[in-house]
Amino acid sequence: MVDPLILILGIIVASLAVSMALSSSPITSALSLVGLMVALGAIYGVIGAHFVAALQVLVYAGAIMVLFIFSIMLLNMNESVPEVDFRNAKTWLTGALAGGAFYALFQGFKHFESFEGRPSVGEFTLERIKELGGNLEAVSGLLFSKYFFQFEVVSLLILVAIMAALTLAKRKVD
Amino acid sequence: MSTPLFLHALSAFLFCMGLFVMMNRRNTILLLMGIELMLNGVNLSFVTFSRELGQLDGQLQLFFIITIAAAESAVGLSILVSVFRNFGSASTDRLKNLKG
Repeated sequence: MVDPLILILGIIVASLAVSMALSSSPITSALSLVGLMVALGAIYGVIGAHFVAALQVLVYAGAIMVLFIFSIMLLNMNESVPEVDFRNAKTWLTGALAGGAFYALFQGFKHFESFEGRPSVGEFTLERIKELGGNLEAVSGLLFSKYFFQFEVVSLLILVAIMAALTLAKRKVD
Repeated sequence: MSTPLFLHALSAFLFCMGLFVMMNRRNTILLLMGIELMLNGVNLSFVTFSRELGQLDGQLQLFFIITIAAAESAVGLSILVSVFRNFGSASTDRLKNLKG
């Protein structure tokens, strides 16, 4: 049985995704996406991934989506964009493609439930994480030992992204 | 249906919704939001697998994905700003300078 709290949050996430995909105004889409990310953060919290839940709300809903809304408002892009046209054959074709992809992914996940090559449950069960002092301690312990090199590489990537964004968005000097 | 399977189905749904947005919408900012939606679907799958299989590597992977998504949207939005400045619109129909 699905946990009722997760079921409710999942329904909220799915309906916000539909409202994001079909709305005609960019700001409605962006706000639906903010709500979706907060609800996803709640799901992460419920299934015990607390560090990731905090990151999801802080970075995704707080930083990335605010950047989106900021640029929509900065560019005054609030004129409505063409809606999804359901009389067009192309919409139905792409919808069928996306639906087919969903069906294939779902069958794959369903197959994984009873897959004999499925890996056995690893070291970090709920009890082990509790022993280590919680999700945040366990995750940061791994982050600064096994994944330290990747952590440093990602910081370099952010530096490059800042320079790229500055170069792209600055006005040309005459 | 078990809880992990429900979460996997939700992640597949989010990914396919992002795919649908990418294939259908004509506005650059909506395309970027479609990419974010697809990334969120993949993230949910990572966390569910990590929880289901008792390994924390999935959650660490998500840490890196979120960082890269932030960098990607910063660069993407600055490209959007210069597109808007040059063409006066964010519609992808205007972007056909390279079309023969």
